[in-house]
Amino acid sequence: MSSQHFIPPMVMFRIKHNYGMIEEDLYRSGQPNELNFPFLEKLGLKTVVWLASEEPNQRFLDFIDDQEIQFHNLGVISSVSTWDPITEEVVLEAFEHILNPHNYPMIIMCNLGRHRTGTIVGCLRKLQKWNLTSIFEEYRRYAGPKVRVLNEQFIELFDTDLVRVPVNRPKWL
Amino acid sequence: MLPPLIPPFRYAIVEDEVYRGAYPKKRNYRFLKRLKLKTMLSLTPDPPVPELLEFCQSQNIRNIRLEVSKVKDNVPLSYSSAIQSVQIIIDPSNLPIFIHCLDGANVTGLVVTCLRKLQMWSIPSCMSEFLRYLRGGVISSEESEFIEKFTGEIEIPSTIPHWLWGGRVTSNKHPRLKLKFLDPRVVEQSEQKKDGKNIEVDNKDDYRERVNGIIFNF
Repeated sequence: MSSQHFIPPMVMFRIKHNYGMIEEDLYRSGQPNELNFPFLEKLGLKTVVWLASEEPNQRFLDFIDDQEIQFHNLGVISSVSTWDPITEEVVLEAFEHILNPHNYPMIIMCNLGRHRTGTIVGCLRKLQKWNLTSIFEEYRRYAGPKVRVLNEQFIELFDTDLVRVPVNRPKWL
Repeated sequence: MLPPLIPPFRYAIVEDEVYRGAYPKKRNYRFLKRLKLKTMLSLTPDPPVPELLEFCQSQNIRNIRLEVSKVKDNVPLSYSSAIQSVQIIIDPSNLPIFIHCLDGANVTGLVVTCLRKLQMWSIPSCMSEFLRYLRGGVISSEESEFIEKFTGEIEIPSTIPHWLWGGRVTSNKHPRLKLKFLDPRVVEQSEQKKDGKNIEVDNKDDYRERVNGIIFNF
């Protein structure tokens, strides 16, 4: 391309830190800001599963409203302290949404996209029958130096028999 | 009960039908079988071990190997291999594809970064994904230079996957990369169809683009 000044023909996407693809049409990330909205818009999301104990910021709520996205806030029914792993109750309720393909494309979010989201994804991998080391490897990749052993323990002890898998389930399972 | 499924080390899904990871071992074959791969891209210093080639053959997977250098202190991937790799990945006839190097970190990561650049991800967004797969959490200055200086030229096939520009070519220009269209007809001639209203909308987009550009460059 020539060196002359030009206006980029398309939007440059700024992707939320800790954004990732879990499976086809199933994504994860931390709380997005308005710079990430053009990218999120392209995902054509139908559902947001929210796990942080705080409410998302107003701009993101407006975005959700604007895009007519279903919003499930599971953060409110979470643990006593923010340091504790999320409860089994939250994971099972999240799975009610995650295992329903009608809700896709879907994104799972918490504040930083590390711990609560990572724990849910860990349980999901367990349901997919991944071996534990690989599950933790993925969890740590997103948690970085902030790995929480209690979250790993939660994943290890999580009983996948408690999950009700519907007949019409996503194809990755 | 069946034994657990063991994905390759550093396994992840990059896009629909594009997967990445470290060198597949025998214990990973059962997992890989389920991906119904059509292509395996091996970015390795030596040819794949016979065991892996046999696996590919038995599963009807086409193994493409691009040689990368062994030297670890510099960037082991050349621009020409990076371009070739990206071209293989964006050709829908090669999907599903598994991309691997030795450890699934640097070489595979650089290829994915080049792909992200083509997908219009901003440089910091590319870097933060690249970083997630590295040991030690440090991007070397050579690697970040490699990423920033990567400009193509990338040949765009006549059909592209849905995850690249929404599956449609609406412009023949890319802000950071040189593109070559194997079939020039894929570029949708939106320019010619403009009526007054569209131009107005486009100007608004340009405005947003410039604002974003300022924020980004800042």
